[in-house]
Amino acid sequence: MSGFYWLASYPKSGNTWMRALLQACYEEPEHVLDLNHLGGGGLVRARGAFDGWCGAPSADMTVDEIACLLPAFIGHLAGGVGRYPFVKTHGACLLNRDGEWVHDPLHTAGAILVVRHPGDVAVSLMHHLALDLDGVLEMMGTHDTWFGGQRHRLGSILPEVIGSWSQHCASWLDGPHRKMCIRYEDLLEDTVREMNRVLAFMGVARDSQHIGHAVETSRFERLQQQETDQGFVERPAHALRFFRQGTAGGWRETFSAAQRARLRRDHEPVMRRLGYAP
Amino acid sequence: MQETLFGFTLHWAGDGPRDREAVDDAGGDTSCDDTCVIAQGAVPMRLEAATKARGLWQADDAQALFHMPGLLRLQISWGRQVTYQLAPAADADDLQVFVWGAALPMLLHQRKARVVRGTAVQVHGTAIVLLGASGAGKSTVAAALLQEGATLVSDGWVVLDADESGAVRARPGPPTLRLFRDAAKALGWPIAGVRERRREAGGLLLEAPRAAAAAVPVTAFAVLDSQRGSGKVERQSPLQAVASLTSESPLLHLQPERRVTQVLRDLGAVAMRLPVAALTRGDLMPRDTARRICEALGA
Repeated sequence: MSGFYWLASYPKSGNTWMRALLQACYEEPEHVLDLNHLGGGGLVRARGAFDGWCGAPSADMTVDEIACLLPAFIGHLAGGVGRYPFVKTHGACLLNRDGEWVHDPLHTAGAILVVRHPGDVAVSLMHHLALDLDGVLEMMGTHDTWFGGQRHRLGSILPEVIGSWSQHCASWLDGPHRKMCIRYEDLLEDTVREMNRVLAFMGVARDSQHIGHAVETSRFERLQQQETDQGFVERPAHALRFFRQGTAGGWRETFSAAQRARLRRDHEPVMRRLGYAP
Repeated sequence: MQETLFGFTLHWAGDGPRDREAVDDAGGDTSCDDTCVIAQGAVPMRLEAATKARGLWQADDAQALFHMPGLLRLQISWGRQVTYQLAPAADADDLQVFVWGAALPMLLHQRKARVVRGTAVQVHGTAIVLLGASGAGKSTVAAALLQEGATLVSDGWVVLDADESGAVRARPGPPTLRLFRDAAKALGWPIAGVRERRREAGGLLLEAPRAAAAAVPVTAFAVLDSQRGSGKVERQSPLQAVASLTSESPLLHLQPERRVTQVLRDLGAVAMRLPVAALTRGDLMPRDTARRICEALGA
């Protein structure tokens, strides 16, 4: 098996935590985790790297054209998989206009789908994007939603289709890759058990002491404290913090009855499929 | 149609028979060194003698071929000629943006020019060159400086000349600035009636209120980083400065080895001669960024 392990998740579902956990597992126990140099970042969506590879500014391309060039770009990057073979992606697992998988299976060792209850995702996204809850639910319920589009502004991250929450999760569950699924809630409940599953999937052998140390190093409170002390480069400018609460089930106190109904209407089949009560 | 930029003339020849002759004439005439002809013609799928290939490009020592699938192919030859072949879906805007974004830096390399990605703005008689990754805010900060009375030298590509005394000058490019809608709105730049650079791709082409007509002496380089930051402007070490400048040379990996060596030597010398400062922007607004750069670099 060669190529990337995709850490695939809808935004605010625990992807960064998983990256921290995996990095700590890949490193020796004495390694000090630095939040601002976290491995497995969004290299495949880095505009500068993409422009340098294709030799033309992506700012002048349409989002469809970028999606058509991404499989070749990912192939180029996969030729030099570095210290960490895992790479985060918020993109849905979709075909581009040319009928190719954007996350090319030829350059994929496996996909680790990290999912979280969409209610908690919505509350977290609300703070992350500085939107109101109805706005977030609209976004999460809209098919083929773009993240980082460039019709109005240019960011350092390439645009990609994340899809609706349901579309995103289902696309990876039904995608062509060798895959596994991790629920954020299960990761919170027993991090060591879930990391054992992930490492087994990746074919990485670590003893229980090593995994226990990695879990301790990457505890949510520690990441939160690092963000307080040193800041976090991945925090959006308008969000107060990236690591906010890191809990499960808090959405019940925030949602109105109408918002609960909307969540159920938009996502019930996929929620059930993932074991979430609608 | 003709336009003068970076010290030479781009002659858009169209596709008529007479224009085709103009291409041939210009291509074969060594006295036409200040002119480059852009004309429609057959562009091969592959460059027979290609020695380098990456992304959308193939290149040999004298020519290069750019292929944007489903849209167009461009062949850039001898620093004097760009031949284009459009797919049925392509239009004039598509051609314009890819000639600007892809063919032009290759053409400049072939013409032995020192070209870097960036934006140069003249403030009080001398130029500051803004560098940084795509999306870091170079054009936006430049627009903020223009609103404060600065003059545009060039946006997108910056061509540098260095004379024997060591003075470095930036050549004037087109009098236009490439901005996205949200950035223009945030700065209060009037955008009513302004045309988009290319349909569906987003981005606007704005007329600069003041544009340099001749080369402008460069006093400093400022490297913008939008990702992390304290908002401080910090002078880079000589090693960092050389890396900052040389990493902004476009399409360098497609150039012949002797050209690569020359570019690294030339830009390295410029970086050793002039201050290069990095600004970790963080949440800093474009206008404040512009002000801090001017204060720190004494502009």
